[in-house]
Amino acid sequence: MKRKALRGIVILLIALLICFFFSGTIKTMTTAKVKIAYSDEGLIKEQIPLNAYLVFPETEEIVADYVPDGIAFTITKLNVHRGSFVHTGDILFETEISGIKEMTTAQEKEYADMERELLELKRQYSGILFSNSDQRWIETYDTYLTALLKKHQAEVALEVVARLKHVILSDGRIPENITDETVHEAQNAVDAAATEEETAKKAMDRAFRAGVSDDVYNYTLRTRMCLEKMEQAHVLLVNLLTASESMKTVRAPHAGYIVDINIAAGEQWTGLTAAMTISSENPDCLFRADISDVSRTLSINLKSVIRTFSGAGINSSISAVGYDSLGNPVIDIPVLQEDLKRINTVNRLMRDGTTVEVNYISDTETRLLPSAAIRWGESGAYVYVAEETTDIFGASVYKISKMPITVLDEADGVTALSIDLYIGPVAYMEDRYIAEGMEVMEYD
Amino acid sequence: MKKRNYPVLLLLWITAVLIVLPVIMTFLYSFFSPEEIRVFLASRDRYDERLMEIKLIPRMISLDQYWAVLIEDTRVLRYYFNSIIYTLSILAGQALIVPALAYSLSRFRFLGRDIISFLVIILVILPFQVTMVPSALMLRNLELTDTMWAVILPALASPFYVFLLRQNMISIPNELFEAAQIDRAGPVRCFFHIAIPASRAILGAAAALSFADCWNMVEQPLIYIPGKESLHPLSVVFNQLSGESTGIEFAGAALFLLPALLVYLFFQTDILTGIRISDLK
Repeated sequence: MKRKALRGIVILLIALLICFFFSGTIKTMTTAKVKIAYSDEGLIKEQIPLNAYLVFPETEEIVADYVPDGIAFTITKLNVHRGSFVHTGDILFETEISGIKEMTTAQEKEYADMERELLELKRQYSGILFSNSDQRWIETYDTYLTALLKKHQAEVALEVVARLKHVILSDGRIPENITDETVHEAQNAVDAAATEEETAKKAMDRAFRAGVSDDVYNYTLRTRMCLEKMEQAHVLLVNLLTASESMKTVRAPHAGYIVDINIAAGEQWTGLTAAMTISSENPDCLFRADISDVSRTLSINLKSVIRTFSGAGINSSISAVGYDSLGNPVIDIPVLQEDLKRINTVNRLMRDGTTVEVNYISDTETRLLPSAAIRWGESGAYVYVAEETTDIFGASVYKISKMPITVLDEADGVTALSIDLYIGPVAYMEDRYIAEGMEVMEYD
Repeated sequence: MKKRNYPVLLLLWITAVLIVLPVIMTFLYSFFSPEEIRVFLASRDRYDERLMEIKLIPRMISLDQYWAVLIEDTRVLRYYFNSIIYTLSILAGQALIVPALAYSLSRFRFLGRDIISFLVIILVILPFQVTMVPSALMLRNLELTDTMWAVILPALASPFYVFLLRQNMISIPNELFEAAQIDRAGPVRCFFHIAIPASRAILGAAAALSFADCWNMVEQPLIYIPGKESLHPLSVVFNQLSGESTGIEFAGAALFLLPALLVYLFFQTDILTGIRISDLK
């Protein structure tokens, strides 16, 4: 019995020693490993990548200096493209007036026809004599025409004023209860012009009753009509040729970048709209980025990095925050003109833009934790707080407990929590499933 | 042929079963799964609803409790080794001190011997609680509190075992020692070649009883090592383990019982002989 008991004691001791020796290893293998994160107080930072386009805040539109009525230009040659840098006097594009030959020929023919008719009138009425009464009629006739024109102008002015003042005219006159001085002045002008017209008509009628021959009447009116038409043809011809010559080559008014082009070779151009837009001389260059999708509040002076095509960065900062012409919120980031070439071609920067990274920094301090440590359940966000205890072998063992939290913000893998919330060590990045109450170990 | 007294025999059997039943149930329950044990223990306080259930067979034999005690939660194992360290240290110390002290008090005549013997008897009579305070103060002055020595040192010269051995050595016939002295044996040789062999049975009994004392001690660690729980033996921690059922108490208890059982089996003959010799029965 003694031997058996002794053997039992020895076996028990050996078994216990083996368990004691391997228990640590087995426990290490069977216990979940986690990383331990400690919360920190600080400002939350985020690098926000945006696509920004190059813009020039000060530009000038290229339009025709003089455009006669009813003509259009044809673009014969376009020498620049969007983003080109031009010097003063460089030819931007070349034009010609559409159908200019036909138009000049027609005006020259009109002029010649009127000349011929005038000669014919002089021949036809070569024996005509202008008496004193004829001369008087011509004068009163001219005066009457002038008075008629003046009266018409006064009536137009009255109607415009009445419409602006919401006054309804009755038989071309203002109602009596109207007190507005402007309307009354317009009405007085109409009345004065009407009186003048009536006086001129009476004078013309008196002169006509004194006796005007049909020859004098016809010669005078027809001659005047011919001279007027000749004058019109002359002016139009001069205008056409002037415009044609002046717009044959359109040159850059000053050095700058071509910001926008609205024309193309072979297209028609009225000359009244901008053919192209050129930046100001030595322009301020800005990168403008739409921030409609950015949830952060970006403010002036936030540091930014403009990425070049090679991936290098040019440091800058936000110079303005506002809205573009479409009402979208935008930010402006200035860049030096000499740096543009390092980034990319101006055309590509205006068309495709480049990446600008804005370094957002929050205003207030918060408690920061790695986002990977934040867990989401049905009742909201929570973390597993690891309460550290030292086991009998001196090894650190953590016991997991659940702690609900409120997430204030999240950026670049960092989550911001209320600064008043005290959080102990937080377990995360576990190598297997963990739950509240479980013991975990920290990764070596 | 001797006539058997059946009523007494029956009574003895019943008593034996009642004594052994907790031990058997401890071993049985150690093979229950922790979950089953927890459910079973949770039903213990509802005796007003039904009769007390005695469950002896698990739904499925499980070694989960042993796995938890020996592998997963090594605290039990550590405390277990603390118990072993305390027990072996105290037994080793007592093996050096107690027989020698008993030998000197029984075989030599010197001034104050009887007073010392009287004090030993007094210390045997005095309960532990009486000597606890001066012991604790002394250990504190020696800056031994919260060390293993605080438990080991006071137990080395246990008065009960000194008294037990002294009484036994007194009864060793003087002729044996005189014969040895004639053969030029000195006191040390007499001690090792006569006193110890003659007291082997009582030494075995003392060792077994001392083992039980050390293995089961509770007050000493609690008082002398109050600030260092990691140095407590399993006997102290057991109360904490079973305070809130974790389902592993029975495996811990079974492991705790096993050494005591084996030691008893080892010293069984000596204990019985020793008790018979020393008239302790």
